[in-house]
Amino acid sequence: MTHNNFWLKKIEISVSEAEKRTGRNAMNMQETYTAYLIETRSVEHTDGQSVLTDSLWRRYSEFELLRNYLLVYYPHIVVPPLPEKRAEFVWHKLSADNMDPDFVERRRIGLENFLLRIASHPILCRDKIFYLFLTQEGNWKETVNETGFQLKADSRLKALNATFRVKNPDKRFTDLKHYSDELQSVISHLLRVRARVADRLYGVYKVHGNYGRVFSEWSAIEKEMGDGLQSAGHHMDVYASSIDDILEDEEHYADQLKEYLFYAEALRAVCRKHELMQYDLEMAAQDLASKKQQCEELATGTVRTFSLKGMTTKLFGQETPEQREARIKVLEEQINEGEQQLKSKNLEGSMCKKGIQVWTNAKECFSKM
Amino acid sequence: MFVSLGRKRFDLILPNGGTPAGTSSPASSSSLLNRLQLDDDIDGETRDLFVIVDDPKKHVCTMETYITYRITTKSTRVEFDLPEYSVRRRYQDFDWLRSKLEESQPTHLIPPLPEKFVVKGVVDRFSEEFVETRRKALDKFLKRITDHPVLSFNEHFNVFLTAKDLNAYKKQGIALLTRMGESVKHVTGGYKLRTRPLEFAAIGDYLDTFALKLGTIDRIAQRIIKEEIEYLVELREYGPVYSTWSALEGELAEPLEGVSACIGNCSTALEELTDDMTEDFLPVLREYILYSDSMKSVLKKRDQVQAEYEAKLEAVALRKEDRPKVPADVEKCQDRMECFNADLKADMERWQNNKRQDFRQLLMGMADKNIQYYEKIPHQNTVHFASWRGSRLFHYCRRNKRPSKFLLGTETLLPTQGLAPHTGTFLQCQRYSAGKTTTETSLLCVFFPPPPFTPQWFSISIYSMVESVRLESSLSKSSIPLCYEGTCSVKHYENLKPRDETTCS
Repeated sequence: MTHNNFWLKKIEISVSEAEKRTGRNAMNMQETYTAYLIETRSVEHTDGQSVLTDSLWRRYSEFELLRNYLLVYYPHIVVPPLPEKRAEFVWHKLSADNMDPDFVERRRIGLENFLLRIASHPILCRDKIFYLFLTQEGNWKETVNETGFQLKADSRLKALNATFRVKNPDKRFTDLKHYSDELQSVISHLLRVRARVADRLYGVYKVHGNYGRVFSEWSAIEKEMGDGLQSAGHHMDVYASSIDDILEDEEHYADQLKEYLFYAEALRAVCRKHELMQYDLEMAAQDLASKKQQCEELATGTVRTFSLKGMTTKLFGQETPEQREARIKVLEEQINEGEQQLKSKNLEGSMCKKGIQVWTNAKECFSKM
Repeated sequence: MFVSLGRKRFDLILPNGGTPAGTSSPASSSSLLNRLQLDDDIDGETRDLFVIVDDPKKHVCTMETYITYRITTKSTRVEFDLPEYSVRRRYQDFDWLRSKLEESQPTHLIPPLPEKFVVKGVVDRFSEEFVETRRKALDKFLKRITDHPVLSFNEHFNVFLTAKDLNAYKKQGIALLTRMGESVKHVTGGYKLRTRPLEFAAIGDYLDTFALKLGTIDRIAQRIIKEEIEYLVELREYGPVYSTWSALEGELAEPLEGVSACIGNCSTALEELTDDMTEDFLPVLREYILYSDSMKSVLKKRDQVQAEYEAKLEAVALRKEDRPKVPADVEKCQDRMECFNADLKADMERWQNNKRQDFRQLLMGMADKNIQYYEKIPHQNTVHFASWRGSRLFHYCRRNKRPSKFLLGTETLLPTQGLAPHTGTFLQCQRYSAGKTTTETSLLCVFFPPPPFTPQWFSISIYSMVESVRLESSLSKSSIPLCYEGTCSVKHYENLKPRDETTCS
């Protein structure tokens, strides 16, 4: 393939900017959306070719389309998840608005990660649509739709109830499914509790802000203590407002957790598809068995062809799970690795420093009293 | 001036409280002495009286259940026959003492007792915390009296500290009490004050604002404690979730457990903080709120005395033509007022100084507790260095531009799957060649965060990397490539040295 050569070069991908735009949607209605600037840069190759920089704008729905396409075309691959569409697990002060600049910034990071993850995947990175997504601004949507993936998706999704009919579930996959279910429930629990913790922490800090006011009011009636109280009050104000930054930082941590949450969901999706295939396989095997029986009953001449067919089906059925398992291993690694970074409880680091700073200042003020 | 004042007070007290001359005159002279000293040094008083309240004991009788506290007194003063006393008193006795002091020393500011009943919520009167808080408050109450140059010489106080049987003494005092009641009534008789002198008006205003502000601080502090307790509840739930998660993971289990333990430590530290605040911070605030109340009541009494004097003066002015000389009782009244004013001013000054010191100590204590709290958290985090590293990494990454270099292809370098989101400060790459059974896996590049970069950091960051080995077999043979993947950990990360960034880009 022609673009195969291209991938041999080194390429940099980044989502570098976000911009608020207004346009008309399919219904010709006014709508506001955010567009993200994707920059790709092929780094100079060893044999001295020219540097190629490219940039184009995409919006979230196009990322979604890309992912949906990938999901259908690579059912055996755990497709990296997109950042959340709407802010979930929010605590009360956090804006749930899609246009909120902080939210857009976090989503920008999420989208960049999404692209980088696909680009680093040995199979997904070779996808033509993905390549076009990065390089071709116009007509991309049409190209995707031409692949007819939606039709495929529909027929696939219809048979979801197969889950309950699989006779011989593969243990590796049931384990995996179990794991992803558990992971999902644990992480969503974690996110819920985190939101509550953030809420409370916010409360604790903000109530300290009242000290600021009272101290400065109190300082007005005191002589010797006045100055100390006044500046201590100021430090209390600083302390109270520091929580906004702390929690904003913590939101990034929550985003990581959310990514794992969505990864767990992607894992489940693959498991579902496997079940579906397994079910197809079992049905085919059953079909084959009954036909074999029929044939034996009728005559003995034509059996061979049937069994050959059965063999190929079996092979296909066996092959894909193995691939999937391989993918899943990748995913688990990804999760593991990412989680290593996660051990953060990151708020403490900067929070402690800030807290100590503020209280030390306050203490100094008090000691001057 | 002072001497004459002292004597006049002595004259006054005698008819009212029936205080024997023996105890009152040294009080006056000593108060004079102390008052003079006060200007030089707040703490300069020579202490010759020490009182401690401790060892609360529960008594269960048929009629009632109550707590007594042991009061130990050590003194070199001549008023005390023995150098040391030890008696047991209950709250009622303290209450009695305070009302006695109020009667016999109406011109002085009597320290407040802790509230008799705590209305907020259903507080167990016999719970350990309640008794301990009250013990501290009672101790403070007695210490304040002991430190007072006049009150500490009060006869009732002496009896309170030394008498074996206080009840007998109390009964004896009842007869006096009725008489006292009359005289108090007499004092508070309905005279109207025209104008408060400016300085007392200022004190009054000050007290109003002060009480208001303290009330607000008290409410804020309670609110903070409430918020912190709620926060604590959530933290207690937060930790175990990480534990649950760790049960699902293999390699990750340990760091997750670490996080869980960290959160556990955080909640313990937080609990200590809230306990300290409840035990040390709130009672002092309360004491001062009560203090401002007793200040106000003394101020009111002063106003009455002044009003009485003014009324009498007016009456005299009306009859001035008849008798040019000011009658004796009016003069006495004026003395009384002046005496009151002087006492009150001195007490106010004492109180201001005490207050300043107390609040300084109190607020510094609060700051210290908070600092300690914050210091505890990171300290425990370092124990689980994995988690600490995580936060450091995280810290670095948010400040630095992440490298977004990606090396794609089959025959060249591949970055490890799944860069951690917005870290990307390091990249692990592998060299492998397609079609070969053996795979060369090496750490080819690490993007370092800018200084401060330490070898320690490096080894830690390597430790966390999971090396994945990827074999790709015969791409050409099958349209769908088969991939096998496995993991192995970097064992000898100590030997790894950071390479130049240039080698990888």
